[in-house]
Amino acid sequence: MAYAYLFKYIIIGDTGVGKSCLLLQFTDKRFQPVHDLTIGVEFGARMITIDGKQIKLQIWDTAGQESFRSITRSYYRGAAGALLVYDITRRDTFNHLTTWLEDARQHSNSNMVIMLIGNKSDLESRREVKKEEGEAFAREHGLIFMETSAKTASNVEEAFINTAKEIYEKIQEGVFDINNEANGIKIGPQHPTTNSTLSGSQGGQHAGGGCC
Amino acid sequence: MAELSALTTSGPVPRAAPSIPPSSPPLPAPNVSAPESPGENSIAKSSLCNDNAADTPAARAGDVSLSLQPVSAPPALPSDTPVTFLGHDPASQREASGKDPEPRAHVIKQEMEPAEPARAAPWMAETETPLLASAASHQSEERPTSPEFKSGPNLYPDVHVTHNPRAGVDVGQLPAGQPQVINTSNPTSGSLDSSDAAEEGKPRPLEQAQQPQAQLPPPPDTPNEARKAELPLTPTRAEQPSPTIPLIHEPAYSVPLPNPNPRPAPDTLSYLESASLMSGTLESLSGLGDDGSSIGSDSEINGLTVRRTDRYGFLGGSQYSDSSEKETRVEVARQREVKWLDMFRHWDKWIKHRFQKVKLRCRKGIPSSLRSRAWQLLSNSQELLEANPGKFEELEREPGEAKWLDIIEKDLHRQFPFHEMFAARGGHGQQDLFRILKAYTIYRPDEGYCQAQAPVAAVLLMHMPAEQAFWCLVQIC
Repeated sequence: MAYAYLFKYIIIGDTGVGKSCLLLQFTDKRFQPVHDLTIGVEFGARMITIDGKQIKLQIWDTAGQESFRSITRSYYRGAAGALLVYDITRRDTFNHLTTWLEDARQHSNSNMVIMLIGNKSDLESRREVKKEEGEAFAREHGLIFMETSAKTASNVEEAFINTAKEIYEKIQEGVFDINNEANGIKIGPQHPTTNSTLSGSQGGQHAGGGCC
Repeated sequence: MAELSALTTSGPVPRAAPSIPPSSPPLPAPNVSAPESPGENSIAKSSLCNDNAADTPAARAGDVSLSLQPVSAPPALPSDTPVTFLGHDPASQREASGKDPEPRAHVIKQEMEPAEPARAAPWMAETETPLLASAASHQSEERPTSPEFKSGPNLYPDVHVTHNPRAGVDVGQLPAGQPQVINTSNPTSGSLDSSDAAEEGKPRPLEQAQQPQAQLPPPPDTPNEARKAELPLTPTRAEQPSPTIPLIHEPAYSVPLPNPNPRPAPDTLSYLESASLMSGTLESLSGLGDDGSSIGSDSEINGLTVRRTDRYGFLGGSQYSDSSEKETRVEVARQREVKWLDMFRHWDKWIKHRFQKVKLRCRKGIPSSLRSRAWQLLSNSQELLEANPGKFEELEREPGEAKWLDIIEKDLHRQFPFHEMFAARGGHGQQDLFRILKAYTIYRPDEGYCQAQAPVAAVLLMHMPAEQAFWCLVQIC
């Protein structure tokens, strides 16, 4: 299907925080309580619309265990957005955020948009990390923050779409060089090859192009 | 629009390199050249599981018994009709091992035949959870003989080879009645199976079932030495009675091959028994668990369309393999078994002098009945097992490091959750998985546990007992 842009995402975070479930909820709109361990990397994709434009999100879901770190590191490069996920019912997953963030910053391009996600917000009774703590951490490190539940689908769409909006805005601002695919952004095959997108925002025009 | 595909999932993952199976379509070199449409690149999950297991008698036996139905199953069979269950439908075996086993089993088999996967679809939808059904039927003496009956989980659901030596009909494709290779006193009719010949350019005599000796009355309970000698040596679990033995009333000459699937049935049996006895398991199956965890609740089978297992024991999920995939002809599968058994007998020589041939045969697919033995020999774990008697128990007694146990426990219910052996929380499969993964962390404390070990360990456990699986894992990792 034609799209105006393709954004590459990566989902990172400790093992068992719900990365694969978030992806499944976003791409398939369903929650699977049991699923296979993620070994290495998996991915999913979905089309969204921002500002009248079709945008394809290509999402890489990584394995959380430390032993896979060397593999997942290689996936940061060329990602336009990252979802850094922790589990609000397990404090250790929150405590590890700094190492994840270091890793991400070190191996990605500097413009990568990082969204901090506190997952499993449906399990309020087992909460170990306060929402305020997540917000504070996000503020401190310049991340967008959101609590989600892959189970109830609460905020899942928003998490992915807000990240895309942020990336899209950066494109509009000319921060991203969309012709350099190392930034994790690709212009769609049907997209007019003009470079007018960088400064001017003639959204309607492109949306028309993306539809056929 | 939404696409979700697995890239490198259940297969073993080399730790150092990105886990990309060589056969993978262009895996996103994680840079510019990432593929545009991931959905198009779906890769078969779990190459370990979905490999050439099709090349087994199990794969074809069901078809054969079907094709025999018109001739070998007249309702008024004499009661001494030998009935051979080469395959293991646990339920039917329990049934058959009751009083008056033979005719009854035979009848049941006939009734079960419509349960061939393709045709079974309509009624399967209304079948209750197979695990539950079997657990329940295990308790009661009166089991239904309706097709649903067959919906019980079974590692090799399609294997029901019936042999009726008196049928005296043209059963060219009847495998069970064909003395192969070993029966030298019985000159072959000279017909060579072309596929066998083609397979390795090494034709072997293949007897035809319509030969005169098929009319002989079966020597009752004659011990078949050749058969005994060839039975895979893999020990079965201690707690598993061997439900197959009472059923084998076949003539000595009839099947010089070992039971093609000597292990799965006991596995399934004990697993089901345990499932019915274990507290919490049934609860988990019926979705009554109160754990509301986002990442895995106790309602494990919830949301899963209930159906019979595929030939590998998967109830669903991405590993479920359609029965429509290409299957190896049963004669070919049997020839392979014979060849493998021959290799087992002279293993060292084969490895030393004809390694290329061994490799070739591995790539054609090790018959699933012999995988346990073959894997242990190939990985050389058998040697390790024999050299370390009691070591596994010793490792089991040690407490283990908490940080590893913690991760392992988190992973237990995420490893092949749609496989009948691993579906039940706290079931035998998960318990054994825990045992061997934990033992590994103690055996090699510097390595501990890597998540990619879990699928490997689980596949090993599908084929062999925990101790053997542990040493195999040690050799593989």
